[in-house]
Amino acid sequence: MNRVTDQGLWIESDLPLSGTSQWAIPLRLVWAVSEGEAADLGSVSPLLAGNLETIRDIYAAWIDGGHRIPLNYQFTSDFGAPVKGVSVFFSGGVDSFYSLIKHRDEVDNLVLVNGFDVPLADTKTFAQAEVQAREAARIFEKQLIVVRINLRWERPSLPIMTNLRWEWPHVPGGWGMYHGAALAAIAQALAPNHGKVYIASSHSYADLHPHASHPLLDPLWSTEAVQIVHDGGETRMDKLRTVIQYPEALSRLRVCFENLGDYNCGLCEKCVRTMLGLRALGVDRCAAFPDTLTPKLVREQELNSDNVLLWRELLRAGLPPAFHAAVRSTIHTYDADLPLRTGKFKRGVKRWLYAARNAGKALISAAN
Amino acid sequence: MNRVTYQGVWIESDVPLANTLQWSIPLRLVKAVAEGEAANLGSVSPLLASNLETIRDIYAAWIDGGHRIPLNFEKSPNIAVAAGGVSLLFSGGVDSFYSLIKHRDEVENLVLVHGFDIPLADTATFALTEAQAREAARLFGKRLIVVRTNMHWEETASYLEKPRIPCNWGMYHGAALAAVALALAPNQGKIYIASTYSYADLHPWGSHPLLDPLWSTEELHLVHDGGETRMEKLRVLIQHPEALARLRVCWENLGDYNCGLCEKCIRTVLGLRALGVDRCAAFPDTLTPQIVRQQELSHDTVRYWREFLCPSLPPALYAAVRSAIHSYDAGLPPRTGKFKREVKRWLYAARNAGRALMAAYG
Repeated sequence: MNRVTDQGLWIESDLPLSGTSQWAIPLRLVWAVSEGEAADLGSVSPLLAGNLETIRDIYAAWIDGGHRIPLNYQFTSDFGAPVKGVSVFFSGGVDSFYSLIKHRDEVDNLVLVNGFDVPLADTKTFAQAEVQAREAARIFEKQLIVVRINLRWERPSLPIMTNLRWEWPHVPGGWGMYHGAALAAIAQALAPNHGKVYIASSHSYADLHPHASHPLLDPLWSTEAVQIVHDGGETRMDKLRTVIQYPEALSRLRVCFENLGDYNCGLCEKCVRTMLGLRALGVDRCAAFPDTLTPKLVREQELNSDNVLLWRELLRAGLPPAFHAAVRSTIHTYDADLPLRTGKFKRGVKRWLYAARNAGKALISAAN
Repeated sequence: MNRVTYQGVWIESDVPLANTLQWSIPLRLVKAVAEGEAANLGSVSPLLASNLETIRDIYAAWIDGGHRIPLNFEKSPNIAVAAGGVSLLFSGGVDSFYSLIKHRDEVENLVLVHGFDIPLADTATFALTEAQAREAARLFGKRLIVVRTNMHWEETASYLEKPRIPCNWGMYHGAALAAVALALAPNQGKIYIASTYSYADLHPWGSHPLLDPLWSTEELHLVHDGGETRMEKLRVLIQHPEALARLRVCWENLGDYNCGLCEKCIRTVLGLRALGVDRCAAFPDTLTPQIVRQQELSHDTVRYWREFLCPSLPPALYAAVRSAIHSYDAGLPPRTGKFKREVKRWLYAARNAGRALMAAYG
């Protein structure tokens, strides 16, 4: 096992890791922007150095309370020639399977990370994810690279199980803002193994809200040794349409972040949304998910500004009428800022009270 | 005068223009995406060719009813060598003055386009704009390149006539800027496009930090510059009074350099006022709380207003800005002080309240 360490953060893998500390720059930079302290970045290769100010400005605009901090670094000419080999970050979800299929002729390695969505301490869930990823790698004839990183779950404290859920420790700017820098750090730490890395996009080009893995940001982390490519601004439905043509991929989909013991819980928003997409494409049963999908479960999902666009996509997808109505109701509840429909009487009363409050506010607003 | 033409669309200028048709690729590509027909792009430089699919996918996602159409092109075997020199597309507004000041040591040419916001037929407004741009170029020791094009407005049409473009100008102008930049390739190896919005605000827009650099070729590097906020930009600008006096932000073309009455004029004067600049020669002295309150904001403009809602504004103006933003947020017609308008406001509020109540049913 090889390991690189920077200020208490480490990345480890069976494969050779980078000999310079350039890999840690994304983590140091985002930390500095978030904390408002000057960033000491050490030696930086010219290509990355040319983009650091832009990266800093973007993160300063995106992180709540971010700062356009001064950047301290020296140029280095010791950046190593790029090696052959193309990798794709592979979580086993729709986005990464899609990018794997799209670039199957070019990609050599799948990179699976332990310590992002699956805590280091949750060895059981990761073992399951690894088995399926290894199987996917075998089917597509790629090498699986397993990487472990401690940035999320061991600092500041070990994860604690509360209510059967992992508690998410604090990272600079929040995980939504930080994980792009973490992906870039891993891509650079693996420099001896590839010259190009694909990061599968989370959102489509129609949806460019601030998000740490972003078509604007990801390529800016490229160095002379490793080119980072943000791949696939297609919509989630476009991607699913491709993935369902590969049943061996479909049965290994892993979308769930809940880590409740099952591969996919079938109950969380992400599971429900993915099952709905599959249903719209005529896939009524998928081995990767438990058979939980009902209009009632759909109606009980609480949406937020990040995922509501993916749900709006479902409205145009041609779902069976009962599910279409349930999706419309869920989106409507979000738009109208009301508590969810659960069918319970108490909840129904609460909905009307909220609606009355909203109506009162709307009426009074004319006086302002 | 040199001119390049492709299917009736032309660009002309006193300076040398490109001798291939590559400049027209942005226009052809966006038109094809908007109309859903295969794009025939002819000969394309390898660098641009490698980005065409990404550009197509972005425009297809951003244009209402856009299509991921097939792209037909050949990779061009001979790549021209980049010319020396750095240019900046220059309208005279806050964004372009800011980028000029930021890169004043590097930039050599300011490119002013007639036929984007100012119709070709409106020669009076353009003459005024050109005189001020020439003055700005002189002050900063730069060369002014004037370009005319019929991309947006037909040459003969009166400027009241609707322009014929494949999608709205907000989406199309990025491709139009890229086309002008590529047509000017013999004059520079790098060209700055001043950003419209900050990095906090990346909604689909024709000139975009994601899109602009993708139009680059081996010959010409396009740089989308300055994701700073409008307030940060104004803060730099007020340190250069010679720039401030020549600001041109108004698109109304009502005869004055800046009308002082439209939303864009009002908002800019508000920003200056928040920074302690009470009087700016470029604007008529029209700012009152009354006129501020009357502004009807949109999804695109309200973000600037939120930025300009500064405690450093005089209290009456601060309250007026807040009222304009509130009217937008609440979906109400803005306050004018007239009785009829007040009644209309209450009717709208009642309708909104009814909708909010009925929402519990849905």
